[in-house]
Amino acid sequence: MTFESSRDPSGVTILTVEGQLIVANRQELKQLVGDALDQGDRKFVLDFDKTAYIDSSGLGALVSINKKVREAGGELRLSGLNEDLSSLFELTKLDTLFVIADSATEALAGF
Amino acid sequence: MLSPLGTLTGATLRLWRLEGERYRLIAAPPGAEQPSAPRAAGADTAWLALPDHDDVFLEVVSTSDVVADEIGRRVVPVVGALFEAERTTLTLTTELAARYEEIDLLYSIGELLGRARAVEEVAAIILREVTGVVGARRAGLRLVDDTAQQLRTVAMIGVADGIVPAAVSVDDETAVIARAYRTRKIATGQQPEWVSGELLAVPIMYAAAGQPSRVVGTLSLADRAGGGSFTREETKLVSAVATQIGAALENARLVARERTQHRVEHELKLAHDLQVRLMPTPEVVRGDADIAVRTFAAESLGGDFYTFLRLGRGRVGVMLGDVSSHGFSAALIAAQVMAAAGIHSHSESTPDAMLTLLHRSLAAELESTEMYLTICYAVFDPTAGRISYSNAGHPYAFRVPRFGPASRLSPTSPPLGLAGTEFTRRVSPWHFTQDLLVAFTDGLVDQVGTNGERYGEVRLLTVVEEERLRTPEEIVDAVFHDLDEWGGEMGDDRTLLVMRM
Repeated sequence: MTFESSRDPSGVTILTVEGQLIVANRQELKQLVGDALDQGDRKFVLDFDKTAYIDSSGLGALVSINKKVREAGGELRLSGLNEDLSSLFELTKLDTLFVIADSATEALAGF
Repeated sequence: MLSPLGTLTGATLRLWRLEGERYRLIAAPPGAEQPSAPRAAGADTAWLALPDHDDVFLEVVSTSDVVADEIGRRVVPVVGALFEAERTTLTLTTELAARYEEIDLLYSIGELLGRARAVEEVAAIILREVTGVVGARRAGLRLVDDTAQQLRTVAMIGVADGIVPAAVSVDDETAVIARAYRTRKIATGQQPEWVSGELLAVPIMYAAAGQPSRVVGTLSLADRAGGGSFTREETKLVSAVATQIGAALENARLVARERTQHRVEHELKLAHDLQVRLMPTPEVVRGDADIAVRTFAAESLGGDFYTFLRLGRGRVGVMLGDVSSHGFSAALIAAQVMAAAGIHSHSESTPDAMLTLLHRSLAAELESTEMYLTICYAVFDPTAGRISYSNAGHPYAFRVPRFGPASRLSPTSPPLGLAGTEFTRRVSPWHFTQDLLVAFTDGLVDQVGTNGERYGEVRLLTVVEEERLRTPEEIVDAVFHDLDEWGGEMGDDRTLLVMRM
């Protein structure tokens, strides 16, 4: 399974991305978040602790998901980015578009 | 047969058939004048019924010393057998003649099997032949659309356009043709919208080599010429035809698909050539800058792009970018960027102003396609000894000096299409004739080699730094040579640009 979904007692949906976020599975992630929004979820943590690689279409999907969550009045946070991925977000200036935490626990604490 | 047999036995042999109360001569030796009535039985004449034929008699007139009865007893089994064989041959010949049209029909379909024709053309020929032989005024041939689960009409006879629906759902309980499709059996019934009389529908079957047979469509006939229901023979013939035409129709469909694919490939090749020509050659800035650039698309069309602009007073603009996808849609965005850059370069020379204008030109397209693009645009000003650049999320642009490590021309904003419209520019000194601009796209550094690892920007920059004193063309050669040795397959568009000015 590429994505694992769980729910924090405080009502935050945590989606863990395993392996890669690439063109082949980005739609699945968008669908997961879209379904959760339909069910009323508004707080999300996307945890990349088990993620090695995100390609350009994966980055696009994250921006698209972030936009949808904001439009629905919610908030999305990213966590667990490894050194390469952190560097990628900084280099592309995408770190200015997201709230990024070191770990899922830290991201949850901020809600 | 009677003449040689008579010679052998020493007798004249004739066959007579009793028709009502009269005998009619049905076979006799040729040549001699034939009697109008049989001779009466006597010493030289015998009269015997043929076995299994009570109405056919053999007249034996002895022309030798042997008694006619004796000759008759010996030859009557032989004559009986020969007569039966001849009668069977005659029956078969008559039947063959009667079935000539049907055989011709099947032959015509056989011919269609080996020819490359359009599906519609094959279907129209089949319908014309079948209705002609069976004698039906209306007929239709439909093929199943597996995706839509519908039977689509490909040929129709005897029905005005618009009366019969172009497609019928295979689940339609009221349609006789849908029933034939579902049950894989002959179906008959009334179709009140347009049929007078009975509608006969048979499934068209096809089995590819080594595969189970499947229904590929239906053949239906209605409005029988003689009125009433289709006879058993007619139904059998239509079924036989349906069995034969599956292959013809499938052949035609495969040929059509092949032709379409060939045309698409040809058009993609043309589009690829067009895209290559849209991107300028380094010749456009010859004399001002020494540039080498190489680009490869992962598909026929790619999302990487670059352009060079002469901006006056010796200044040169260099732009390199990557649309967040590849293929046709990415190529369209890339083409739009290059066209817009060409237009805006005449009015705006600062990099941030250029990106602002590009963003305005592309915002709607990027929004609707959910695509974005990373782009770095640098203006080189040798008179001032500096460059100014704006970089929208493109990580792979570097200054490689004559000595020392490469330094990144860091992005000044997120990619185009992902964030707002505020773009800024940076200005930095540049050692003209010495410093190299090295810009590339992620397809290069993300290429996974045979060892399972990505090529990476560190390795790429190491090659460039080792070769930095060589010409841009030689440096590009060295990087792609190293990439070839790294191995693996190209998963994304790849572009490398090296410039010394």
